[in-house]
Amino acid sequence: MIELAPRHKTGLNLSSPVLIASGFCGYGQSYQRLIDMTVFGAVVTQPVTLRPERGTPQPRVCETTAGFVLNTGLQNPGVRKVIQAHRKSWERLGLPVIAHLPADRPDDLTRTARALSSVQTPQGDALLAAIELGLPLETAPDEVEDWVAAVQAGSELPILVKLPIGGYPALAESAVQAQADALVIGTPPLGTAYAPAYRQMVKGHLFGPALHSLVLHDIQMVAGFDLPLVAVGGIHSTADIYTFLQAGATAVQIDSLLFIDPQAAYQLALDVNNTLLDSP
Amino acid sequence: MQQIRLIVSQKETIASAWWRLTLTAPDLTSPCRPGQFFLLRCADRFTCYLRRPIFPQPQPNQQFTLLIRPDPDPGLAWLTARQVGDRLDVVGPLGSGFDLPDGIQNLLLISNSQWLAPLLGLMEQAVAAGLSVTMALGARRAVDLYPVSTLPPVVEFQAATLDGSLGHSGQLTDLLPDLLPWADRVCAIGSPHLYRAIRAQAEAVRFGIPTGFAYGLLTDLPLPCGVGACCSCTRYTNTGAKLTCLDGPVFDLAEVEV
Repeated sequence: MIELAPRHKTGLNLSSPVLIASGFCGYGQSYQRLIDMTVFGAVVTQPVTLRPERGTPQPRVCETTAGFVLNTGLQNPGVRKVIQAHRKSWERLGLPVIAHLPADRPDDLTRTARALSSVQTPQGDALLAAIELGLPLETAPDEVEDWVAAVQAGSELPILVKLPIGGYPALAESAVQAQADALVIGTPPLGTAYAPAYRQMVKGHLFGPALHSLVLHDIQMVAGFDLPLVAVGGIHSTADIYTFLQAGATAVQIDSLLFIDPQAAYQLALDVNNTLLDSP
Repeated sequence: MQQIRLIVSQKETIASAWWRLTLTAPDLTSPCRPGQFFLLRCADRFTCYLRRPIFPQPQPNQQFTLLIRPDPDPGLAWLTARQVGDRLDVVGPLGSGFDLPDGIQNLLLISNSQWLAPLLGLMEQAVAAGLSVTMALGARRAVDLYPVSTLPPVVEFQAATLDGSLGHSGQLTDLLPDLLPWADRVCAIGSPHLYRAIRAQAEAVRFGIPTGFAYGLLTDLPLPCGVGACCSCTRYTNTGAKLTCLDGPVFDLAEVEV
Protein backbone atom coordinates (compact mmCIF):
# COMPACT_ATOMS: atom_id res chain seq x y z
CA MET A 1 0.00 0.00 0.00
CA ILE A 2 1.17 3.52 -0.69
CA GLU A 3 -0.12 6.87 0.52
CA LEU A 4 -0.19 9.62 -2.07
CA ALA A 5 -1.85 12.31 0.03
CA PRO A 6 -0.46 12.02 3.57
CA ARG A 7 -1.48 15.58 4.49
CA HIS A 8 -5.05 15.17 3.28
CA LYS A 9 -7.77 14.39 5.80
CA THR A 10 -8.89 11.20 4.02
CA GLY A 11 -5.62 10.49 2.24
CA LEU A 12 -5.16 8.65 -1.02
CA ASN A 13 -4.27 5.11 -0.07
CA LEU A 14 -3.54 2.93 -3.10
CA SER A 15 -2.88 -0.79 -3.34
CA SER A 16 -0.14 -0.39 -5.94
CA PRO A 17 2.37 2.34 -6.85
CA VAL A 18 1.68 1.67 -10.53
CA LEU A 19 -1.09 3.87 -11.93
CA ILE A 20 -2.40 4.50 -15.43
CA ALA A 21 -1.82 7.97 -16.89
CA SER A 22 -4.45 10.32 -18.22
CA GLY A 23 -5.20 9.82 -21.89
CA PHE A 24 -4.20 6.17 -22.00
CA CYS A 25 -7.28 4.39 -20.69
CA GLY A 26 -10.25 6.55 -21.68
CA TYR A 27 -12.38 7.18 -18.62
CA GLY A 28 -10.98 4.08 -16.95
CA GLN A 29 -12.58 1.12 -18.66
CA SER A 30 -10.87 0.91 -22.07
CA TYR A 31 -8.65 -2.06 -21.22
CA GLN A 32 -11.06 -3.74 -18.83
CA ARG A 33 -11.87 -6.56 -21.26
CA LEU A 34 -8.22 -7.18 -22.04
CA ILE A 35 -6.34 -7.14 -18.74
CA ASP A 36 -7.09 -7.35 -15.04
CA MET A 37 -7.19 -3.68 -14.10
CA THR A 38 -7.09 -4.32 -10.37
CA VAL A 39 -3.29 -4.76 -10.49
CA PHE A 40 -3.04 -0.99 -10.93
CA GLY A 41 -3.21 1.40 -8.01
CA ALA A 42 -5.54 3.81 -9.79
CA VAL A 43 -6.49 5.06 -13.22
CA VAL A 44 -6.47 8.70 -14.27
CA THR A 45 -9.22 9.68 -16.69
CA GLN A 46 -9.02 11.60 -19.91
CA PRO A 47 -9.32 15.36 -19.47
CA VAL A 48 -12.69 16.53 -18.19
CA THR A 49 -13.81 20.12 -18.73
CA LEU A 50 -16.93 22.00 -17.76
CA ARG A 51 -18.17 22.33 -21.32
CA PRO A 52 -17.80 19.93 -24.26
CA GLU A 53 -14.57 20.21 -26.20
CA ARG A 54 -14.64 19.10 -29.86
CA GLY A 55 -10.89 18.56 -29.94
CA THR A 56 -8.36 19.18 -32.67
CA PRO A 57 -8.89 18.37 -36.36
CA GLN A 58 -7.41 15.21 -37.78
CA PRO A 59 -4.72 13.99 -37.95
CA ARG A 60 -4.19 13.90 -34.22
CA VAL A 61 -1.44 11.33 -33.98
CA CYS A 62 1.72 10.62 -35.92
CA GLU A 63 4.44 8.06 -35.30
CA THR A 64 7.99 9.21 -34.71
CA THR A 65 11.16 7.20 -34.28
CA ALA A 66 10.49 5.17 -31.13
CA GLY A 67 7.40 7.12 -30.20
CA PHE A 68 4.60 9.32 -31.44
CA VAL A 69 3.10 12.77 -31.13
CA LEU A 70 -0.51 13.02 -30.01
CA ASN A 71 -2.85 15.95 -29.63
CA THR A 72 -6.56 15.40 -29.05
CA GLY A 73 -7.20 18.97 -27.96
CA LEU A 74 -8.83 17.95 -24.67
CA GLN A 75 -11.76 16.35 -26.53
CA ASN A 76 -14.49 15.40 -24.06
CA PRO A 77 -18.25 15.73 -23.86
CA GLY A 78 -18.20 17.99 -20.80
CA VAL A 79 -18.38 17.05 -17.15
CA ARG A 80 -22.14 16.44 -17.01
CA LYS A 81 -22.10 13.88 -19.83
CA VAL A 82 -18.87 12.31 -18.56
CA ILE A 83 -20.53 11.63 -15.22
CA GLN A 84 -23.72 10.36 -16.84
CA ALA A 85 -21.83 8.02 -19.13
CA HIS A 86 -19.24 6.67 -16.73
CA ARG A 87 -20.39 6.73 -13.11
CA LYS A 88 -21.74 3.19 -13.29
CA SER A 89 -18.55 1.84 -14.79
CA TRP A 90 -16.48 3.70 -12.17
CA GLU A 91 -18.47 1.91 -9.50
CA ARG A 92 -17.73 -1.46 -11.10
CA LEU A 93 -14.12 -0.82 -12.08
CA GLY A 94 -12.59 -2.17 -8.90
CA LEU A 95 -9.85 0.44 -8.57
CA PRO A 96 -9.70 4.12 -7.60
CA VAL A 97 -10.46 6.62 -10.34
CA ILE A 98 -8.68 9.99 -10.46
CA ALA A 99 -10.26 12.67 -12.66
CA HIS A 100 -7.90 14.73 -14.79
CA LEU A 101 -8.88 18.41 -15.00
CA PRO A 102 -6.84 20.59 -17.34
CA ALA A 103 -6.20 24.10 -16.05
CA ASP A 104 -9.05 26.33 -17.11
CA ARG A 105 -10.80 29.51 -16.02
CA PRO A 106 -10.91 29.32 -12.22
CA ASP A 107 -14.73 29.50 -12.10
CA ASP A 108 -15.02 26.65 -14.59
CA LEU A 109 -12.45 24.61 -12.71
CA THR A 110 -14.38 25.03 -9.49
CA ARG A 111 -17.67 23.97 -11.09
CA THR A 112 -16.08 20.98 -12.79
CA ALA A 113 -14.36 19.87 -9.59
CA ARG A 114 -17.58 20.32 -7.64
CA ALA A 115 -19.56 18.21 -10.11
CA LEU A 116 -17.03 15.41 -10.04
CA SER A 117 -16.59 15.47 -6.28
CA SER A 118 -20.32 15.25 -5.67
CA VAL A 119 -20.63 11.90 -7.46
CA GLN A 120 -21.18 9.37 -4.71
CA THR A 121 -21.14 5.64 -4.24
CA PRO A 122 -24.37 3.94 -3.16
CA GLN A 123 -22.90 4.12 0.36
CA GLY A 124 -22.64 7.90 0.17
CA ASP A 125 -18.86 8.17 -0.20
CA ALA A 126 -17.15 10.16 -2.94
CA LEU A 127 -16.89 7.90 -5.98
CA LEU A 128 -13.74 9.52 -7.29
CA ALA A 129 -10.53 9.15 -5.35
CA ALA A 130 -8.75 12.38 -6.29
CA ILE A 131 -8.35 15.12 -8.86
CA GLU A 132 -5.29 15.54 -11.04
CA LEU A 133 -4.88 19.15 -12.13
CA GLY A 134 -2.98 19.40 -15.40
CA LEU A 135 -0.92 22.56 -15.85
CA PRO A 136 -0.29 23.91 -19.36
CA LEU A 137 3.22 23.77 -20.76
CA GLU A 138 3.73 27.50 -20.35
CA THR A 139 2.64 28.06 -16.79
CA ALA A 140 3.87 30.91 -14.64
CA PRO A 141 4.47 30.04 -10.98
CA ASP A 142 1.97 32.65 -9.77
CA GLU A 143 -0.83 30.99 -11.78
CA VAL A 144 -0.49 27.67 -10.00
CA GLU A 145 -1.93 28.88 -6.73
CA ASP A 146 -5.08 30.25 -8.42
CA TRP A 147 -5.76 27.01 -10.22
CA VAL A 148 -5.19 24.83 -7.18
CA ALA A 149 -7.37 27.15 -5.12
CA ALA A 150 -10.10 26.94 -7.76
CA VAL A 151 -10.13 23.14 -7.54
CA GLN A 152 -10.04 23.27 -3.75
CA ALA A 153 -13.02 25.62 -3.79
CA GLY A 154 -15.11 22.97 -5.50
CA SER A 155 -13.70 19.77 -4.08
CA GLU A 156 -12.39 18.27 -0.90
CA LEU A 157 -10.74 15.41 -2.76
CA PRO A 158 -6.94 15.10 -2.72
CA ILE A 159 -5.33 17.17 -5.48
CA LEU A 160 -2.42 15.95 -7.55
CA VAL A 161 -0.80 18.68 -9.64
CA LYS A 162 0.67 17.54 -12.95
CA LEU A 163 3.61 19.71 -13.96
CA PRO A 164 5.08 20.04 -17.43
CA ILE A 165 8.28 18.09 -17.98
CA GLY A 166 11.16 20.52 -17.93
CA GLY A 167 9.23 22.95 -15.80
CA TYR A 168 11.15 25.02 -13.31
CA PRO A 169 11.25 23.87 -9.67
CA ALA A 170 9.44 27.16 -9.03
CA LEU A 171 6.27 25.52 -10.38
CA ALA A 172 6.64 22.68 -7.93
CA GLU A 173 7.30 25.16 -5.16
CA SER A 174 4.11 27.03 -6.05
CA ALA A 175 2.11 23.81 -6.03
CA VAL A 176 3.50 22.93 -2.61
CA GLN A 177 2.62 26.34 -1.25
CA ALA A 178 -0.87 26.00 -2.69
CA GLN A 179 -1.22 22.83 -0.60
CA ALA A 180 -1.30 20.34 -3.41
CA ASP A 181 -1.27 16.78 -2.05
CA ALA A 182 1.15 15.34 -4.60
CA LEU A 183 3.08 16.31 -7.72
CA VAL A 184 2.86 14.41 -10.99
CA ILE A 185 5.80 14.80 -13.37
CA GLY A 186 4.87 15.32 -15.97
CA THR A 187 3.17 16.51 -19.10
CA PRO A 188 5.44 15.78 -22.10
CA PRO A 189 6.90 18.49 -24.29
CA LEU A 190 5.55 19.22 -27.75
CA GLY A 191 6.94 17.60 -30.83
CA THR A 192 6.14 17.74 -34.52
CA ALA A 193 6.14 14.90 -37.00
CA TYR A 194 5.38 14.66 -40.71
CA ALA A 195 2.42 12.50 -41.65
CA PRO A 196 2.94 11.40 -45.27
CA ALA A 197 -0.63 10.17 -45.68
CA TYR A 198 -1.90 13.65 -44.94
CA ARG A 199 1.07 15.52 -46.36
CA GLN A 200 1.14 17.72 -43.31
CA MET A 201 2.88 18.22 -40.00
CA VAL A 202 1.27 16.94 -36.84
CA LYS A 203 2.02 18.79 -33.64
CA GLY A 204 1.37 17.23 -30.26
CA HIS A 205 2.77 15.95 -27.02
CA LEU A 206 5.66 13.57 -27.60
CA PHE A 207 5.40 10.08 -26.11
CA GLY A 208 7.82 7.18 -26.03
CA PRO A 209 10.76 5.71 -24.10
CA ALA A 210 12.85 8.88 -24.40
CA LEU A 211 10.59 10.61 -21.91
CA HIS A 212 11.95 8.46 -19.10
CA SER A 213 15.22 10.33 -18.97
CA LEU A 214 13.51 13.74 -19.00
CA VAL A 215 11.17 12.77 -16.18
CA LEU A 216 13.98 11.24 -14.15
CA HIS A 217 15.87 14.51 -14.43
CA ASP A 218 12.86 16.45 -13.12
CA ILE A 219 12.14 13.98 -10.33
CA GLN A 220 15.68 14.45 -9.05
CA MET A 221 15.29 18.23 -9.23
CA VAL A 222 12.21 18.23 -6.98
CA ALA A 223 12.99 15.22 -4.82
CA GLY A 224 13.76 17.55 -1.91
CA PHE A 225 10.17 18.71 -1.60
CA ASP A 226 8.24 17.14 1.22
CA LEU A 227 5.46 15.92 -1.03
CA PRO A 228 4.77 12.59 -2.77
CA LEU A 229 5.98 12.53 -6.37
CA VAL A 230 4.39 10.55 -9.19
CA ALA A 231 6.59 9.94 -12.22
CA VAL A 232 4.99 9.50 -15.63
CA GLY A 233 6.70 9.11 -18.96
CA GLY A 234 8.39 6.44 -20.97
CA ILE A 235 8.02 3.46 -18.65
CA HIS A 236 8.65 0.25 -20.60
CA SER A 237 10.21 -2.06 -18.00
CA THR A 238 10.31 -2.79 -14.30
CA ALA A 239 13.79 -1.24 -14.28
CA ASP A 240 12.25 2.01 -15.49
CA ILE A 241 9.82 1.91 -12.59
CA TYR A 242 12.43 1.10 -9.95
CA THR A 243 14.66 3.88 -11.22
CA PHE A 244 11.85 6.37 -10.67
CA LEU A 245 11.12 4.96 -7.22
CA GLN A 246 14.78 5.08 -6.25
CA ALA A 247 15.03 8.66 -7.46
CA GLY A 248 12.30 9.71 -5.06
CA ALA A 249 8.97 8.95 -6.71
CA THR A 250 6.29 7.39 -4.52
CA ALA A 251 4.32 6.13 -7.50
CA VAL A 252 4.46 5.97 -11.28
CA GLN A 253 1.98 6.21 -14.12
CA ILE A 254 2.19 4.01 -17.19
CA ASP A 255 1.38 5.71 -20.50
CA SER A 256 2.19 4.59 -24.03
CA LEU A 257 3.22 1.06 -23.06
CA LEU A 258 -0.49 0.32 -22.77
CA PHE A 259 -0.92 1.03 -26.48
CA ILE A 260 1.98 -1.03 -27.68
CA ASP A 261 1.79 -3.95 -25.24
CA PRO A 262 -1.16 -3.99 -22.82
CA GLN A 263 -0.16 -7.39 -21.45
CA ALA A 264 3.33 -6.10 -20.65
CA ALA A 265 1.84 -3.13 -18.79
CA TYR A 266 -0.23 -5.52 -16.71
CA GLN A 267 2.80 -7.73 -16.06
CA LEU A 268 4.94 -4.78 -14.98
CA ALA A 269 2.37 -3.74 -12.39
CA LEU A 270 2.01 -7.30 -11.18
CA ASP A 271 5.78 -7.78 -10.87
CA VAL A 272 6.24 -4.53 -8.97
CA ASN A 273 3.34 -5.35 -6.65
CA ASN A 274 4.74 -8.81 -5.93
CA THR A 275 8.24 -7.48 -5.33
CA LEU A 276 7.03 -4.81 -2.93
CA LEU A 277 4.88 -7.39 -1.18
CA ASP A 278 7.92 -9.62 -0.69
CA SER A 279 10.22 -6.83 0.46
CA PRO A 280 10.60 -6.41 4.24
CA MET B 1 -10.82 -8.86 -27.27
CA GLN B 2 -7.55 -10.63 -26.52
CA GLN B 3 -3.81 -10.13 -26.85
CA ILE B 4 -2.73 -13.33 -28.56
CA ARG B 5 -0.29 -14.83 -31.04
CA LEU B 6 -1.32 -15.56 -34.60
CA ILE B 7 0.82 -18.21 -36.28
CA VAL B 8 1.58 -17.90 -39.98
CA SER B 9 0.56 -21.35 -41.19
CA GLN B 10 0.64 -20.68 -44.93
CA LYS B 11 1.97 -18.05 -47.29
CA GLU B 12 0.82 -18.16 -50.90
CA THR B 13 1.64 -15.97 -53.85
CA ILE B 14 -1.74 -15.50 -55.49
CA ALA B 15 -0.67 -12.98 -58.11
CA SER B 16 2.15 -10.64 -58.89
CA ALA B 17 2.89 -8.79 -55.62
CA TRP B 18 -0.18 -10.28 -53.93
CA TRP B 19 0.33 -12.69 -51.05
CA ARG B 20 -2.19 -14.46 -48.92
CA LEU B 21 -1.22 -15.34 -45.37
CA THR B 22 -3.18 -17.99 -43.53
CA LEU B 23 -3.06 -17.23 -39.84
CA THR B 24 -3.96 -19.67 -37.10
CA ALA B 25 -5.20 -18.38 -33.76
CA PRO B 26 -5.24 -21.36 -31.38
CA ASP B 27 -5.84 -19.13 -28.33
CA LEU B 28 -8.61 -17.02 -29.80
CA THR B 29 -11.90 -17.38 -27.97
CA SER B 30 -13.68 -14.26 -29.24
CA PRO B 31 -15.77 -14.43 -32.42
CA CYS B 32 -14.65 -12.21 -35.29
CA ARG B 33 -16.73 -10.66 -38.06
CA PRO B 34 -15.52 -9.40 -41.44
CA GLY B 35 -14.47 -5.78 -40.98
CA GLN B 36 -13.25 -6.16 -37.43
CA PHE B 37 -9.54 -5.60 -37.05
CA PHE B 38 -6.48 -6.62 -35.08
CA LEU B 39 -3.65 -4.36 -33.96
CA LEU B 40 -0.37 -5.93 -34.99
CA ARG B 41 2.97 -5.43 -33.28
CA CYS B 42 5.48 -4.94 -36.12
CA ALA B 43 9.24 -5.15 -36.20
CA ASP B 44 10.87 -3.37 -33.26
CA ARG B 45 9.86 -0.45 -31.06
CA PHE B 46 12.43 1.81 -32.68
CA THR B 47 11.15 1.72 -36.25
CA CYS B 48 7.50 0.82 -35.61
CA TYR B 49 6.48 1.99 -32.18
CA LEU B 50 2.74 1.86 -32.74
CA ARG B 51 0.77 -1.22 -33.66
CA ARG B 52 -0.67 -1.40 -37.18
CA PRO B 53 -4.30 -2.31 -37.88
CA ILE B 54 -4.83 -5.36 -40.08
CA PHE B 55 -8.14 -6.45 -41.53
CA PRO B 56 -8.19 -10.22 -42.02
CA GLN B 57 -10.90 -12.44 -43.42
CA PRO B 58 -12.27 -14.77 -40.73
CA GLN B 59 -12.20 -18.45 -41.68
CA PRO B 60 -13.50 -21.55 -39.89
CA ASN B 61 -11.42 -23.37 -37.29
CA GLN B 62 -9.80 -20.32 -35.66
CA GLN B 63 -8.12 -19.26 -38.85
CA PHE B 64 -7.87 -16.05 -40.82
CA THR B 65 -6.59 -15.10 -44.21
CA LEU B 66 -4.87 -11.82 -44.82
CA LEU B 67 -4.03 -10.25 -48.16
CA ILE B 68 -0.75 -8.37 -48.23
CA ARG B 69 1.02 -6.28 -50.83
CA PRO B 70 4.26 -4.32 -50.92
CA ASP B 71 3.82 -1.23 -48.78
CA PRO B 72 6.05 1.75 -48.01
CA ASP B 73 5.03 1.66 -44.35
CA PRO B 74 7.86 -0.06 -42.43
CA GLY B 75 5.38 -1.99 -40.31
CA LEU B 76 3.46 -3.39 -43.24
CA ALA B 77 6.73 -4.04 -45.08
CA TRP B 78 7.78 -6.12 -42.08
CA LEU B 79 4.49 -8.02 -42.31
CA THR B 80 5.07 -8.71 -46.00
CA ALA B 81 8.34 -10.45 -45.11
CA ARG B 82 6.75 -12.88 -42.63
CA GLN B 83 7.15 -16.57 -43.36
CA VAL B 84 5.44 -19.79 -42.36
CA GLY B 85 5.97 -20.47 -38.68
CA ASP B 86 6.36 -16.82 -37.68
CA ARG B 87 4.23 -15.59 -34.79
CA LEU B 88 2.38 -12.31 -34.81
CA ASP B 89 1.53 -10.47 -31.60
CA VAL B 90 -1.96 -9.01 -32.05
CA VAL B 91 -4.70 -7.41 -29.99
CA GLY B 92 -8.22 -8.05 -31.17
CA PRO B 93 -10.69 -8.56 -32.62
CA LEU B 94 -11.57 -4.88 -32.31
CA GLY B 95 -14.27 -2.55 -33.53
CA SER B 96 -17.43 -3.23 -35.45
CA GLY B 97 -17.72 -5.29 -38.61
CA PHE B 98 -19.98 -5.59 -41.62
CA ASP B 99 -23.23 -7.41 -41.18
CA LEU B 100 -25.84 -8.91 -43.49
CA PRO B 101 -29.26 -8.50 -41.96
CA ASP B 102 -32.31 -10.37 -43.26
CA GLY B 103 -34.01 -8.83 -46.25
CA ILE B 104 -30.89 -8.13 -48.31
CA GLN B 105 -31.09 -9.58 -51.84
CA ASN B 106 -28.56 -7.72 -53.97
CA LEU B 107 -25.20 -7.10 -52.34
CA LEU B 108 -22.65 -4.82 -53.97
CA LEU B 109 -19.08 -5.19 -52.72
CA ILE B 110 -16.72 -2.52 -53.95
CA SER B 111 -13.07 -1.82 -53.28
CA ASN B 112 -10.01 -0.03 -54.54
CA SER B 113 -7.91 -1.05 -51.53
CA GLN B 114 -5.48 -3.82 -50.72
CA TRP B 115 -7.45 -4.38 -47.50
CA LEU B 116 -10.38 -6.03 -49.26
CA ALA B 117 -10.13 -9.35 -47.38
CA PRO B 118 -13.18 -8.57 -45.19
CA LEU B 119 -15.25 -8.17 -48.36
CA LEU B 120 -14.21 -11.67 -49.42
CA GLY B 121 -15.47 -12.97 -46.10
CA LEU B 122 -18.70 -11.10 -46.58
CA MET B 123 -18.95 -12.44 -50.13
CA GLU B 124 -18.71 -16.03 -48.89
CA GLN B 125 -21.40 -15.41 -46.29
CA ALA B 126 -23.67 -13.82 -48.88
CA VAL B 127 -23.18 -16.57 -51.44
CA ALA B 128 -23.92 -19.18 -48.79
CA ALA B 129 -27.11 -17.30 -47.92
CA GLY B 130 -28.21 -17.27 -51.57
CA LEU B 131 -27.82 -13.52 -52.16
CA SER B 132 -26.93 -12.04 -55.52
CA VAL B 133 -23.45 -10.60 -55.21
CA THR B 134 -21.53 -8.20 -57.43
CA MET B 135 -17.89 -7.46 -56.68
CA ALA B 136 -16.50 -4.29 -58.26
CA LEU B 137 -12.78 -3.68 -57.97
CA GLY B 138 -10.63 -0.84 -59.15
CA ALA B 139 -6.91 -0.31 -59.58
CA ARG B 140 -4.37 1.54 -61.63
CA ARG B 141 -3.55 -1.51 -63.78
CA ALA B 142 -4.89 -5.06 -64.16
CA VAL B 143 -1.81 -6.47 -62.42
CA ASP B 144 -2.65 -4.39 -59.35
CA LEU B 145 -6.12 -5.92 -59.03
CA TYR B 146 -6.91 -8.71 -56.65
CA PRO B 147 -6.79 -11.88 -58.79
CA VAL B 148 -10.35 -12.28 -59.96
CA SER B 149 -9.82 -15.91 -60.98
CA THR B 150 -10.14 -16.77 -57.30
CA LEU B 151 -13.69 -15.40 -57.10
CA PRO B 152 -16.54 -17.95 -57.27
CA PRO B 153 -18.38 -18.00 -60.62
CA VAL B 154 -21.67 -17.17 -58.96
CA VAL B 155 -20.31 -13.72 -58.12
CA GLU B 156 -20.58 -11.13 -60.89
CA PHE B 157 -17.31 -9.33 -61.25
CA GLN B 158 -16.72 -5.85 -62.61
CA ALA B 159 -13.40 -4.09 -62.87
CA ALA B 160 -12.14 -0.62 -63.59
CA THR B 161 -8.53 0.14 -64.40
CA LEU B 162 -7.07 3.54 -65.07
CA ASP B 163 -4.99 2.24 -67.99
CA GLY B 164 -7.85 0.21 -69.43
CA SER B 165 -5.97 -3.08 -69.13
CA LEU B 166 -9.01 -4.80 -67.60
CA GLY B 167 -12.68 -3.90 -67.54
CA HIS B 168 -13.80 -0.32 -67.68
CA SER B 169 -11.12 2.17 -68.60
CA GLY B 170 -11.30 4.81 -65.92
CA GLN B 171 -12.26 5.26 -62.33
CA LEU B 172 -13.98 2.63 -60.23
CA THR B 173 -16.49 5.28 -59.30
CA ASP B 174 -17.56 5.47 -62.96
CA LEU B 175 -19.32 2.12 -62.42
CA LEU B 176 -21.47 3.38 -59.60
CA PRO B 177 -24.37 4.87 -61.64
CA ASP B 178 -25.08 1.41 -63.13
CA LEU B 179 -24.49 -0.61 -59.98
CA LEU B 180 -26.14 1.40 -57.25
CA PRO B 181 -29.74 1.17 -58.53
CA TRP B 182 -29.41 -2.63 -58.51
CA ALA B 183 -27.99 -2.95 -54.99
CA ASP B 184 -29.96 -2.95 -51.79
CA ARG B 185 -26.79 -3.06 -49.68
CA VAL B 186 -23.33 -1.68 -50.50
CA CYS B 187 -20.22 -2.62 -48.54
CA ALA B 188 -17.03 -0.84 -49.50
CA ILE B 189 -13.39 -0.74 -48.57
CA GLY B 190 -11.33 1.98 -50.15
CA SER B 191 -10.33 5.57 -50.19
CA PRO B 192 -12.31 8.53 -48.82
CA HIS B 193 -12.78 9.54 -52.47
CA LEU B 194 -14.60 6.26 -53.10
CA TYR B 195 -16.86 6.76 -50.10
CA ARG B 196 -17.70 10.31 -51.10
CA ALA B 197 -18.50 9.10 -54.61
CA ILE B 198 -20.76 6.33 -53.30
CA ARG B 199 -22.64 8.82 -51.20
CA ALA B 200 -22.92 11.36 -53.99
CA GLN B 201 -24.01 8.78 -56.56
CA ALA B 202 -26.50 7.22 -54.19
CA GLU B 203 -28.01 10.62 -53.59
CA ALA B 204 -28.23 11.13 -57.35
CA VAL B 205 -29.63 7.80 -58.47
CA ARG B 206 -31.64 6.88 -55.40
CA PHE B 207 -32.80 10.38 -54.55
CA GLY B 208 -30.93 10.50 -51.26
CA ILE B 209 -28.83 8.02 -49.39
CA PRO B 210 -30.88 6.25 -46.74
CA THR B 211 -29.33 4.93 -43.56
CA GLY B 212 -28.62 1.22 -43.71
CA PHE B 213 -27.79 1.24 -47.43
CA ALA B 214 -24.07 1.84 -47.86
CA TYR B 215 -21.30 0.97 -45.44
CA GLY B 216 -17.61 1.72 -45.67
CA LEU B 217 -14.60 0.45 -43.76
CA LEU B 218 -12.65 3.58 -42.98
CA THR B 219 -8.90 3.10 -42.86
CA ASP B 220 -7.84 6.72 -43.18
CA LEU B 221 -6.95 7.36 -39.53
CA PRO B 222 -4.26 5.74 -37.39
CA LEU B 223 -5.68 3.55 -34.63
CA PRO B 224 -3.03 3.69 -31.87
CA CYS B 225 -4.96 2.05 -29.04
CA GLY B 226 -7.88 0.25 -30.69
CA VAL B 227 -9.96 0.35 -27.53
CA GLY B 228 -11.17 3.94 -27.24
CA ALA B 229 -8.44 4.93 -24.83
CA CYS B 230 -6.90 7.91 -26.61
CA CYS B 231 -9.59 9.64 -28.74
CA SER B 232 -7.10 10.11 -31.56
CA CYS B 233 -9.41 8.44 -34.12
CA THR B 234 -12.49 10.57 -33.45
CA ARG B 235 -14.66 11.39 -36.43
CA TYR B 236 -17.88 13.31 -36.53
CA THR B 237 -21.16 11.82 -37.72
CA ASN B 238 -24.80 12.87 -37.88
CA THR B 239 -25.15 11.43 -34.41
CA GLY B 240 -22.11 13.13 -32.87
CA ALA B 241 -18.50 12.20 -32.22
CA LYS B 242 -17.60 8.56 -32.83
CA LEU B 243 -14.40 6.67 -32.24
CA THR B 244 -13.25 4.84 -35.35
CA CYS B 245 -11.69 2.06 -33.29
CA LEU B 246 -14.77 1.39 -31.16
CA ASP B 247 -17.78 2.55 -33.16
CA GLY B 248 -16.15 1.71 -36.50
CA PRO B 249 -14.12 1.13 -38.53
CA VAL B 250 -17.26 0.16 -40.48
CA PHE B 251 -19.60 3.15 -40.69
CA ASP B 252 -22.89 3.87 -42.39
CA LEU B 253 -21.88 6.25 -45.18
CA ALA B 254 -25.14 8.17 -44.73
CA GLU B 255 -24.01 9.21 -41.27
CA VAL B 256 -20.28 9.80 -41.36
CA GLU B 257 -18.18 12.68 -42.64
CA VAL B 258 -15.54 11.36 -45.04
